[in-house]
Formats: sequence, structure tokens, C-alpha cells
Amino acid sequence: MGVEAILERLRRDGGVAGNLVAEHVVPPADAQLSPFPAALDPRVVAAFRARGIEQLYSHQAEAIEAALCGRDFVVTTPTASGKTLCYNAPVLHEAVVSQRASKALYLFPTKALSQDQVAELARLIESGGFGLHAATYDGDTPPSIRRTLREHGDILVTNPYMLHVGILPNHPKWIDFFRNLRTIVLDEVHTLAGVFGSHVANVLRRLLRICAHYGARPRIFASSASIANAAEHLRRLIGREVQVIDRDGSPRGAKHFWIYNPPLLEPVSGLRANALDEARRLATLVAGEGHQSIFFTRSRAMTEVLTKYLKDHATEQGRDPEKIRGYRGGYLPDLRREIEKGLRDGGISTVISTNALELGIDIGRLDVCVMVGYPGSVASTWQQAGRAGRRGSSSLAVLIARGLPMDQYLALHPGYVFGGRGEHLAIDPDNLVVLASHVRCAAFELAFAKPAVFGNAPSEQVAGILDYLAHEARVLHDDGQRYHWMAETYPAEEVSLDAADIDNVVVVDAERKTVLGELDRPSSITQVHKGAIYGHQGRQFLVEEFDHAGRRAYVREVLTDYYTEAETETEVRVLHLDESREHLPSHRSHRGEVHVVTTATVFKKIRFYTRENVGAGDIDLPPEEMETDAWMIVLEPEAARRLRLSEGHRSKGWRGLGKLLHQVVPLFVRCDLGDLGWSAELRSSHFEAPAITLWDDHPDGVHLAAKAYELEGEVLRAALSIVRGCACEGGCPGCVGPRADVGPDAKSVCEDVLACLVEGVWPPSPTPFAIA
Amino acid sequence: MATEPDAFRDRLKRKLGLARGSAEPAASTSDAAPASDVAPASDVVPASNAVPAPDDASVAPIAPTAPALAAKPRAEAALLLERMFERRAKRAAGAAAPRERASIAPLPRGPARPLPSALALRVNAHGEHAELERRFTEPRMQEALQHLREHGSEALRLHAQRAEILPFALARAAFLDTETTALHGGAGCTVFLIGVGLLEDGALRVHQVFLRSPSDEAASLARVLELLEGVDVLVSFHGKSFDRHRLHARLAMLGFDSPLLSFPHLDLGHIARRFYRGELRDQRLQTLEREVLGLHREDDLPGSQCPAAWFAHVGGRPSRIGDVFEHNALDVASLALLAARFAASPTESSSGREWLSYARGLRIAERRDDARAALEQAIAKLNADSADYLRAQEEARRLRPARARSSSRAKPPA
Repeated sequence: MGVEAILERLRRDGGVAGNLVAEHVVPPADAQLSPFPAALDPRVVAAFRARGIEQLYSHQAEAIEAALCGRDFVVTTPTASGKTLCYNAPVLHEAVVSQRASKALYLFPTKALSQDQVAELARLIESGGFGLHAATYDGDTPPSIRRTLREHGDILVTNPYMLHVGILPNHPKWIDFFRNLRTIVLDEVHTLAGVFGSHVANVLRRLLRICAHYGARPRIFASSASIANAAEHLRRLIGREVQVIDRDGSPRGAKHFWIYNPPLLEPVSGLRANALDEARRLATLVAGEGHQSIFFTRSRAMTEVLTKYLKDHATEQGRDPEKIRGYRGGYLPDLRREIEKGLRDGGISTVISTNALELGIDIGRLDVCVMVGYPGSVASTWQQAGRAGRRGSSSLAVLIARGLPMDQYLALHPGYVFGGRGEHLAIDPDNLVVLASHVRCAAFELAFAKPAVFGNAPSEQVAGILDYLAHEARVLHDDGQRYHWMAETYPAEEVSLDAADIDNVVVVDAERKTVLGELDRPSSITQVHKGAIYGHQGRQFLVEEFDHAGRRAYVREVLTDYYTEAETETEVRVLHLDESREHLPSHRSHRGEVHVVTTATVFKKIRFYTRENVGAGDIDLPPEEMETDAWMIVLEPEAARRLRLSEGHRSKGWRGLGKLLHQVVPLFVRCDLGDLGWSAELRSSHFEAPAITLWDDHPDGVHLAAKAYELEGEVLRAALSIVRGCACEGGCPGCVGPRADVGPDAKSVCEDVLACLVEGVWPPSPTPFAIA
Repeated sequence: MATEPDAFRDRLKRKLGLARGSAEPAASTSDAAPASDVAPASDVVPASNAVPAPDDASVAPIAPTAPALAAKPRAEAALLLERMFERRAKRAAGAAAPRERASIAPLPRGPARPLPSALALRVNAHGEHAELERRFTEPRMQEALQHLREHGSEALRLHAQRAEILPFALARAAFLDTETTALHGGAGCTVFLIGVGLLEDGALRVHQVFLRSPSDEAASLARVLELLEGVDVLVSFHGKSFDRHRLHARLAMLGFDSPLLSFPHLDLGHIARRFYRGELRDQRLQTLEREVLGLHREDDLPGSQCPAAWFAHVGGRPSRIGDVFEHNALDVASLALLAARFAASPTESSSGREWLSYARGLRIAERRDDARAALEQAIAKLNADSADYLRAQEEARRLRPARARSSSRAKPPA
């Protein structure tokens, strides 16, 4: 079925049409074509011609020209606009012109992406007859061919983890490669955000330091989804000014982008229909055979639940459930390859995925994209929506708003997404712990000469860290001129770029004695605790035993009518304050450090479809502990009195404000809700006053809460506009939370408090109860 | 601003749980750069008087002005720093066995032993380095070297089973053993003591080139290259997979042309494995020393403790660095003795495995008739249900006359 017909069907469906609260049409665009730049070697041009590319899109020509002038660039055009050509062309040019004396290193965020890239390069090299060697070099590369690749590879494709732990610490084996390294390609740099991005920025500092040691200064070509601060992001990431190429010259069919707000079930409480149920309903209209659809969910568990729903539905309709597949991180590589192939060749009509398919894995272009919940950033939203859209025909993207403030904010303010500027990426390469970790790795790789230089890191910080490592930790020897590594350890192995990196829990099918999948340790305490239901391709597995220390969960396939959801309890203690601001007479704000302990306590069994609670159980696992940065808002006791926070139902409203702020901050600082933790106490034991604390949910902080502290005014104003703009009567999941959670007065309490914090407006003083 | 040095330092300290001012960083360790004030009068200067050799191991030579109490908080700080850096890794490691950590090097057990007094400083174009020379002239060594020389070490070269080794008599061999700071091959693995044993009239002369500190590296490595000039084959114990790669990496990092990977290399470890696999508890050099050569070391510093001794020495702390020299020299000497043992042609009393190894060597040397004769010996001696017996059968197939093999292969299907 064509997309136009689907649109028509949706518009006519009485149950659906009324929920389409916003529509945005990206008009079709003709290609802006440019000839191949004259300076590009004719052999390279011929190779592209042989692949059927006669002309370039304007942004491709722009990128190639920048590269040929020796400039670094970042290209931020949409998904599937031919970004890889932007760097493949100049890399091949360089290799051909130098007669194989120029090497290139491609850095992709995931292994899956590198497989695709190498296949494309191999086709180009073959059609040009260049005799170049392009290959992936990562953890899966057989040891027997590694030496050959190091010595004879012209273009190597790897990932940040391999570079960090495998390649850089062993650079003496790579001397010829580094000596001749002319180009570094960084793909999907918008994924290099937060703590992970900060780590990668430091891995790049190490890479460039080693290149410099061997006399090379490679150029850097980057690609990214649309982000608001591409130039700034690259400056932080690689310490260089780059040319930003953002004018898209590729042709596209019309894209219909709808925001779908599930119907209000109870106007009083503001409760809306469940987004997953709505996705199921939409699926009957937009998914089917003859075209391809993709559903993005926000969690692995929801991917599995929706996969089951859609497979069940297909079976009822007499259609083949095997054409409907789930896809997520944690599946083993072979299964993922199989699904990707099925999507490319059309064997699979519907895929339900986490954001794992958001990146440029080659699955071809699909027709319909449904996002169950806001993906957490504008960049991700457009990346996901970009999965739908074939050249010359229309496509449809639907964002189903959940009953969460972020999603409801977007339903009210669709321009936030449709405006499409993307957000500011926040990374902090000079974060003390991240920087120190990598200075340590760098000291292992090459002795630091004094005065020590490490990329554009502040030199006094670097000097301080080295001094510390030498004289306190004694892992370095300071001979007066240089710091030399002086320990038996291999420091890169002890620094993990992100939690999912090495700290994996393996899920074992105890019956079939096979590994079913894997997941990161922090989420394991809520996903594979004893008694949990672990979903896999729409099937259910009961966790029989979780060996937390051994990082293995043993599961057995079961037939159940429920899935599980775990609850956690979190305790926060203020360690110290780094910076404070007074906004008297209403409140004070602080930035500081807190100690956070998270324990998984109980889990609920929830029946499929009806979502009834059909049981519960205890979880007995060790807690997760960390120290991290936090932003704290502390009300003056007098303000709390005037706002009558201690009175009856109003006291619960304070919690509503915490919840609201937690969901508003990601609008300003690129992160997922899960990147931030929060608490709201009416009487904080530390401040002895009402306090709301938001902290970075990463050990040692990632500059999120700190940035929120800087942007406090804007964050609070946005929160106030959500509360005032929300149509509910007394609080809803779309603003301060459902009444059941935060009490009947939460909305007015939040409005009062925010009006006081933002506008300095005080609620009328309560009339003193006086006996005449 | 966190970037100001003071604030930075405070923050670092706070992260480490140090109260401000409770532990002043130690004044730069007064480890008195050894020998820096002794001008080399000639090319070779005895270094014994220049190197601090604390008589009393209990006196820590660090920060003599720091109050004794300061030592404790600093040790705690180091541990906390480790914890800070490795918090993630430790969680990651989970149940996996904790990696051995020696960055806070404990003093290896046993009394501190300073540098050997005969350690000499030498100068070359790359600077200064330290070297100790030692001759092994014991009757047993003389006998072994004589054996190597007189019998042209032919059996040994055959046992090596490498065509590129065959042309070289071992008279110009270098016996190589190194001490490194780690077992991984990363760029941070330093080779700090290189033992090179060369054959002399009636003796094995072992040159031990030593890094007093990492800054000696270029001069030391240049000296090693000099020692290897005129050498035509390297003899080591598992050096093909370890020592030569470590040396190669250091040379490459410093911009030297490294001959290490192209050198003909005779690895006694490989032969030992063929001879004794499953027969001895393991095939480590010291086990062979004991079980095959009948030698016993006294007060040997285990190789695993050598890095810690060097770290302590470089850091100016008392250490057993002298024992590292002893350990390394004995390793080199053992190489020569073991080579002589393997150079003995197999006899009636030799094992089937030895004959099998010999037969293969002969086949590789294109001496097929001799090989067949040796293989007969092997097959007669090997247990018929052993893996080596199967290997011998395979060898027999390869040794079948070429015509017989091709005709059997060319047999048309019935």
C-alpha cells in the first residue's frame, strides 16, 4: 500500500484522526546537483561513475572541495543524503594520488556500522580498480590477519573502544600506519555526547598525540545528524575549527510528520490512553504487507512487548508473524545481520526497534516510521523519522506522545521538533575524572615531556594530574624532564568509555545452553533479577537465577501472560557545594557533589494487553553506588511558609515540581531522562529546608546538572509555561504528574512556586485565622 | 574556577578524601640522580661509588625532610587515586579474577640488594647507559660450550626445524633474555634489563645492559644493537613470541631500525615443548633447569617480582635490584646449557619424541634418508596410542618417496 493511501486511511479513521494534533509536511525537494570538483582525481571520479553516480549533490561537492583544500569539515545533512560519499571521495583521492602512501582511519560508533561501510568502500575500490585495502579492525578481527591489516591496510574502520583499548596502547605495532595517516573520519558524531563523548574526545587527543609523535597531522572529516552547535561540538571533540556543511542538496519525496496524542481517558485527572496501546492500534492501519514500517520504542522491554503484540495480531489475521521482527542491542550479531538483511531485501515488512536502528546501519529506506514516545532529542527524532522516506515517493512519520511532560510539551509545542534545529550537545572533555583517566592512558603510550601538552586540555590541569600520578600514585617516574610510565598495569583496560562497554551481563538460555543476548550491568538489576521476564523476539523467558558477581543470568523459556517491571529506591546525600547563587527572598541554587545509592527493591508482574498488576516479588541484589555532580534548588524557609508547602495536599506538590524539572532539563541539555536522577524533599536533612536535587546519573558527573544550574532561569521559565499551558484541571502526567502521585493541589503549588521563583510573584497571603 | 591550579588541586584532594593541607606532597624525591655528578673520565667509569646503595634497607631514601607520619596519608591517597581511576573497571571486572596490580610496588620479600658494584657506565652517541659484564667459566659451562662448538650444534639446529637456522653454526649466537615491566605488549612495557650472552674462548660472556632510569633507553638499546653486530642467530626461551617483540617495539618507538624480527631466531622453548610436553609439570625455563639440567638456584628472585624491584630502584626506594641482575644472568647461562643439551645427537636412550623432532629436522634439511632412519627409531619408541605416534605417522607419510605419493594420489577412481 502506498503512503498516500495510508495517509488517507488515517485521516478517515474516526478513532485516529482526532488524535493527530499536529502535522508538518516537509515538501518534496529536487536535487541540487553539482559536477565533480575539477581537482578530484579523474580515476576516483570514474569509480563513482562506474557505480552509477554521474553528478554530486551540492553538499557532497562542497565537502570534497573543502577536503581538497586541506580543510576539516563536518557534514550535518539528513539521514540517507549521501554523507559517506563526502569523505570516501577525498580519502580515495588521497590514497590514489599518493600511490597508497596515505592511510585513513574511520571511527564508527558501533561495529555494525563499520561492516556496512567496508562493504561500500570495497565496491568503490573494486570499480575503480585501485587495489586498495579497506577492512574493519575491531574486536572481531581474527588475530591471524591483524598484522596484515596493520601493515597493508589503506583504510581501516574501527570503533572508539578498539582504538582506546587495542590500537593506541599498542602503537609501536602501528608505526607505519600512523606515520602515513592522512585522514580520520568520525561518523555520527552526534552520538559522541555526554560522558561517552567526553571520553571519545580524550581518545582522539591520544590518537592525535601519537600521530604527532610519528610526524603526522591527519585531517578530520566528520558527519552528524542535525545539531544546533555542530561547530562548537567539533571544537570540543577534536580541538579544531571545522567547516560546517549543512545545506542539503539531495532530493526527497514529501514527508508527512504527525504528532499523535493519545485520547484523554479522564479529563479530570488528565490520564491519557497508553502510548503502546495506541501504537498497536496505529499498527493495524499503517503496518502491513506491500510496504515497510518501523516502530521505535524507548526501551528494550517495550520493544519486546510491542513485538509480541504485533506478532499476535498478524497471527490472528492469518499473516506470517515471521515478517514482523524485533531489533535491539543485546541481540547477538548474527541475528542482527539477519534482520538487517531481511529489511533490505523486503523479506521483513515490520520491525520494532529500540534506538539501535537509529544510526546509519544499512537497512534501506522504509515507508512508515512510528515513534512510540519522544526519542529524547530533536536530533534523534529526525534520525528516526529519516528511516522512512524513499526517493520520489512520500513517507510518513508519526510521533506518539506518551503521558509524560516532555511528550506532552511537544504535543503542545510541535514547533520544537518541527523547527528541527536540534539541540546543543554537551560534552566536557576536561572533566577531571575523564581527563585524568586518559592522561594516565596517554602516559602509558608515550612519556610526557615537560611542560606537558594534551590536546587542548588546560595545561595546569594536565600538569596537576601528572604530578599526582608521579608523586602520589607512583605510576609515573618524574625524571625532571619527562614523566615515564612505571607500572605493570595496562591502564586502558581499566577505563571504560561507557557503562555498556565492557561491563556486560550475559543472558544464558539454561535449557538450550546457548547465549541469548547481553545487557549492561547497571540495567541488569532491574531487567534480569531473579523472577524477571526477559523478552526476546516476542518470546518470554523467566530469569531463574542471576549470578550478579559472575555477570550471568540464567533464563528458561516460559509461556506467561505477563511481563515484569522493577522498582528502585534511591538515597542521596550532599557531599559538598561548589558554587551557589542567592535569589532572595525566594530561594538559593547550588552546584555540588552528592553520593547516590540505588537499590532495586521489588518487581511487579503486569499482564499483557490489560496491564493489570498480577503479582509482585522482592529483589535481593547489591545496590549501585556513585558520587556525582548535582544541581540543587533550596527554598528559603520563609518562602516555603508563604507558599504554604507544609499544608496538607500542598506538601505533595513539591514532588510534582521535582518530577517536572527532571523532565524539562533534557530539553535544554542533550541527554536522556535516564541520564539524570532527581529527588524532592520537603525538609532536606542537609539544608533543613525544601530542596529539589537533580544529579548526573553517571559516576563523577558529565556536566549535565552543572549546565542546568547555569541555565536555571530558562529551565524554570519553560517549566512554568508547561504548567500554565496544560489543559488539565489539577495536574496530569503531561505536567506535574497524575493526581494519584502528587495530590490534588500539585498543579497550583507548582505554578505558585514557579511564579515565585521566575517572576517573583507571591501568592496572596493566607488570611490569618483569627478569633475575634 | 575549577581550572585554577589551587582549586584544581583542592578538588583532586577532595575527591581523594584528603583534608586540605594534611598531606603536603613530598618534596621532589631526593633520589639523587645516580652518577650525574661523576664526569666520565674515560669511556668506562666504575659506577659503584656513584649509585646510592643504602646499607640499611629500613631507611627510606625518599623525602628525608618529610615527617614520618606523612608517609601514611600519602599511601592512602595513592590507594584512593587508584580507586578513583579504576572504579568503573573494578565493577566491570566483576567476578573475573582481580588483575595483579603492582603499581604501588611492595618491597619484594627478602633483603634489599643494591646494584652490583661492577656495574659500569658507558657512553655512546645516544648518551649514557649502564652495563655489567660477567663471565661464566665453570667447568660445566666450558664443557657445554665446547660441545656446542665441536659438534657444530647440528642436532640443535635440526631440532629447531627451521630452514633459516640451518646454515648457522652457533659459534656466533647471542643468547638473549630480557626483563620487562609487564607481560602485555603495550607501549608502556619497558625493557629495563637486556642480557646478551656471547661465546668466548672457554667461557660465556654475559653483557647485561641496564636502564638506570627510562631516560637511559636510547643509549642502552643502541648498545644492544652494537652487541648484536656480528651475531648471526639469536637463541632464546620463548623469545620469538615475547622478548624480541618487546625489544622491537622499544626500538621502533625510538626511531631505530630494528633487526629483531628479521634475525634468524632459535627458540629453545619450542624444542622444550616438543620434548617434554605432558612429561614435566610445565616447560618453564626453571623447571627444565631443575629437571633436565639438574641445577638448583638459591635465593632466586622470581621473574614476576623483577618489575617491582626496578620500579622501587628507579623511585629511589630500597629494592632487590641486585637480585634482578643475578636472575637474568642465570637465565642467560641456562640458555647456553640447555642449548648444549639439545645439541646432543639422539642416542639409543633418547626418547621417541626426541627422535621424532630430529627426524622432522632432517626432512626439513632435505636429508630424507637420514630422516627415515630417525623416524623408524621414533616409531619404535613411541607409545602407539599417543598423539606423538600419530604425528610420527603423518611424518612418515610426508617422507614417502615423491613418486609413491603422487601415484597413490593419481589413482583413478574405480
